Amino acid sequence: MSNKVMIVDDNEFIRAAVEFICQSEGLDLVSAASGEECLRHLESGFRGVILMDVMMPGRDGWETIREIVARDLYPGNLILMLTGMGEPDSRMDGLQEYVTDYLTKPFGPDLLTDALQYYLSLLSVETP
Amino acid sequence: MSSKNVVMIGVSTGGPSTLKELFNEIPPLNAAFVIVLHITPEMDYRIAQGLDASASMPVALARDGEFLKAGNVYLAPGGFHLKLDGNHRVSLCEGARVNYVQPSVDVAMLSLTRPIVGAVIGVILTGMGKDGAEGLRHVKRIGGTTLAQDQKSSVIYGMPKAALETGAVDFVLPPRGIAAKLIELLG
Amino acid sequence: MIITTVVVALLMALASELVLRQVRQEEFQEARVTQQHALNLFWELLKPKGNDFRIRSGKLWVGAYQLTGANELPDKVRDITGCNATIFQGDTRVATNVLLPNGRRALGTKLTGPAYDSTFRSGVPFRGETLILGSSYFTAYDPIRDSSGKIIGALFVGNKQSDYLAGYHRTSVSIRAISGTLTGILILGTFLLLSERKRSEDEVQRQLQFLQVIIDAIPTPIFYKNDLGKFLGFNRSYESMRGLSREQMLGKTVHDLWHKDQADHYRQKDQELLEKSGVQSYETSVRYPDGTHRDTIINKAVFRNQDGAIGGVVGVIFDITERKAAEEEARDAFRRIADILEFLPDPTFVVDREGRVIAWNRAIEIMTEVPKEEILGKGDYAYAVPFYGDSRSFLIDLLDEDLELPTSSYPGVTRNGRTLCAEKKVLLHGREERYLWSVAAPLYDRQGNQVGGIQTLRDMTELRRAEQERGALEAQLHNSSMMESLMVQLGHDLKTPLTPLFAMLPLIRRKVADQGLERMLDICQSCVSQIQGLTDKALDLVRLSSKAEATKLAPVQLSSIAQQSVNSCEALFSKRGISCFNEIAPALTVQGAEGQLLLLFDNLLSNAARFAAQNGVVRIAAVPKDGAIQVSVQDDGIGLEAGHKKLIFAEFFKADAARHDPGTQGLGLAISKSIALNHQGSIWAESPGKNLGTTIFFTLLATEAT
Repeated sequence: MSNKVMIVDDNEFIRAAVEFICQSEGLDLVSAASGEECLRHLESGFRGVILMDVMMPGRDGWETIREIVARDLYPGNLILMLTGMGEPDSRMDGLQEYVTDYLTKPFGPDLLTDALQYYLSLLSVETP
Repeated sequence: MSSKNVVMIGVSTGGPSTLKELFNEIPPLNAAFVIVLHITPEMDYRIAQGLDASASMPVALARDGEFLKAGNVYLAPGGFHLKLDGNHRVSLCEGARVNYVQPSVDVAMLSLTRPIVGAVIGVILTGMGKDGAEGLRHVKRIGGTTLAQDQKSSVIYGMPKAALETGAVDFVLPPRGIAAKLIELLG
Repeated sequence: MIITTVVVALLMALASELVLRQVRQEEFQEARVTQQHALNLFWELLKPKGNDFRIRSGKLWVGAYQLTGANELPDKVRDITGCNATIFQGDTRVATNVLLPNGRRALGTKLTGPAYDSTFRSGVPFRGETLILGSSYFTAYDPIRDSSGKIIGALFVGNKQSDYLAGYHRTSVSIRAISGTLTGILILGTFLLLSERKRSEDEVQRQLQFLQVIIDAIPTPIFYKNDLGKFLGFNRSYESMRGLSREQMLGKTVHDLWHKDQADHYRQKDQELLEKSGVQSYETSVRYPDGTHRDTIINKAVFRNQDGAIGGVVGVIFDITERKAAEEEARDAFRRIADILEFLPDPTFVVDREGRVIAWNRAIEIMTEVPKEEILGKGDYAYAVPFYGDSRSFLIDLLDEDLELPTSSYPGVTRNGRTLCAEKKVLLHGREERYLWSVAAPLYDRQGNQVGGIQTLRDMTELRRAEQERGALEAQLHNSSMMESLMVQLGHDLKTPLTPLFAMLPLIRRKVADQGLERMLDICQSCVSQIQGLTDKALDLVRLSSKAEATKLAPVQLSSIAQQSVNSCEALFSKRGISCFNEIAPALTVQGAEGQLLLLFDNLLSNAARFAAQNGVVRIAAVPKDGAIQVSVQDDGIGLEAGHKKLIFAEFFKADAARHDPGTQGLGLAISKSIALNHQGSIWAESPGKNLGTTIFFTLLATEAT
């Protein structure tokens, strides 16, 4: 199963908003309310663009990415941070290669859809 | 077309979109462009292809031993550090992360040497951390021109800020401004 | 003792022997009497038979009775008297109950010895001891004479001594045994007594030696003399003090040993003591063998014998030379301390037992403006007057009181061992309010008696005031940092609900066809924008004015920063046809933080864009002035009323015209002010008047390079 977009955020309204946006664009969306759920989806075979919140209870965004890399679940995925924080702090050190973009909240639907379309197109590039 | 002009661009998170925007503004120029983007081996070719589709110059992954050609854009592949011999030959090497990253902009820029002929230009774009700051300082030292992206347009301002704090930055500009400046310098 | 015992033992033996002998004698006498009686009886028994004894036909006859073989007669004698009896015919036993060893009558045996001699030869009755058939007998022999008087036989009675004396023997054995035992006991007793005495004598000796060891160990000279003044004993220390040996001193008087004057003095003292009894103590100078004179104290006492009579005097000599020197030293030290006290930086005074001031140092003179001449020697709480205006008890007076501090009258007093501490607000000189901290402690003499007190004060007023101020500031700071963190938290928390609004309202708007609904949604979106703007700006403001970290200033190119801002405000300017000119010299560098300066220009330029005249002009310039760089952003728009020049920098202030404009939050200039402050510069506004334009000035630090 290869879905295309995953939203990882502990706030249900934000997840809902992203869902609506994806719906209106005809994008498949998988919802995860925590880092743990995200990992589960990845273990189940999700590959696509991951919208990752930074501040979550339990594993935060950075820890989740580290775990994704550790479990070798990154290949085939592309990660965009979704965060209310300004500049990231040193917890991002070592994860630069895995974070392709950084979107600050609040964001408009167009900004999100543009990004999603662009990055999904990147992912669809065939293996040389 | 062989030329001695080299433009080395260091960039991280926010890179793909910023590079797209930048190269949309750059016509084919008389220089070899080397992009050091913090990237994984799984993604590097995708970025290269994506950029190749929209840029005015061909974009491809740099290959070990390759000789740089003007009017081409080379992307450092993931999983290696990139160095240039004599500012014109690619050398890929394995090694530990530098500044927590691989490929490292510092490693690439520090491999540049003072040109007898031709120009060296260093650019630091959006990204987190301080990779490239030392590299840019080095570029300035060997007589090159240095540019850093401005805060407003940077997705993440970390790397440009670190570069700026070295005091070795000649120009602080948004992507369009950088494009204009490059055209100006290489035209 | 031994001799006595021996003598007694011997006497006892002798006595018992004598007694026994006596008894023996008695027994013998008794025996003799018995025998005589027995013999008499024998004769009496024969009498009826006749009285003519003759030998006929080889047999002994009396009258018509044949005596030879007439055993019944001796037997009768025996039956009656218990004695053996024999009738001798000549020297031969012819009737007898003397038995042979085999148990048969000893008929036919002969009489020999002294008994025979006496009886037969001498014709004298024999009385005495005779050996008969190997045993000793008490015997009595009477000759039997015939009618011619010729001895023809004899009569015998006798007792075997052993039989007769059996009782005596038993007695004598008992007596001897008893005597022997008694003697034995006596000897044993004597022996034990002697060894006991030896032991206790040894013990006494040991104790005496031990006592000598003890007093020899005592490093203080000790001596004792009898009532005549002769030395009975002393310890080693005394010997070495005097420089004389035991032999030289023991048994001698002071007059034997020392110079007359000295000896007289000693003797006199001894006499006094002996008369008065009790204890004597005096100081005197003693000449030591090395020739030095040393100050000493001599303590003496009388000791009594067991019977209560005075036995003599015992004395102890203490060398007080060092002590006297120490006393002298202490007096010097005290003088030095008094000097130190005088110049102690802390106001200090000392009182004696009666509460009179005995020391009043320079510092307290200055503090109270009371010179020492005015107060030394004064009591009655005179020391309280400069502080309280009247005489009342002071901390030092509490030293007298019991351990339970009267908390009511003196709150805040703490006790630390014997020292008291307290802090009090006083009205010094009746006019100045000061916080004084005090410590009071008692003073003791060498014997541990309290002889006074010392109190030292310290003016804590400045310190207390500074503390109070700091406390207030800290509270303020705490409050403001609380506010800050609250703001930051709020800012972040607002972004979360803003996001769905921001994300979804446009989606809804797109799907809506109804104009009314469209309008409503537009309004909603505007509001959301405004909330977002407020949130961002408020966060900016908090961040910029946070005291958390000082802004790092570095040389930056002012012109390029301004230009960036101009570029990003392009849309705003072109919307109203405004032209913006950046007249800052490109080479100019200032000390600044690029991000903040950018924000500053953004704020000023967006304000300028809003307030400038339609199709107007905005100018940015920077000139050196008074050592700094003065930057200006000038528009030709609506200008400012006089009263607003300061107000516009206040948070959330909007000039009336802008109050309805949702695109502005009224924080822009507050943020600008914060940034200017972070750059150690100032910011102000100038305007010739309404519709005559406004210029915002701010200053920045120049870099040395330019």
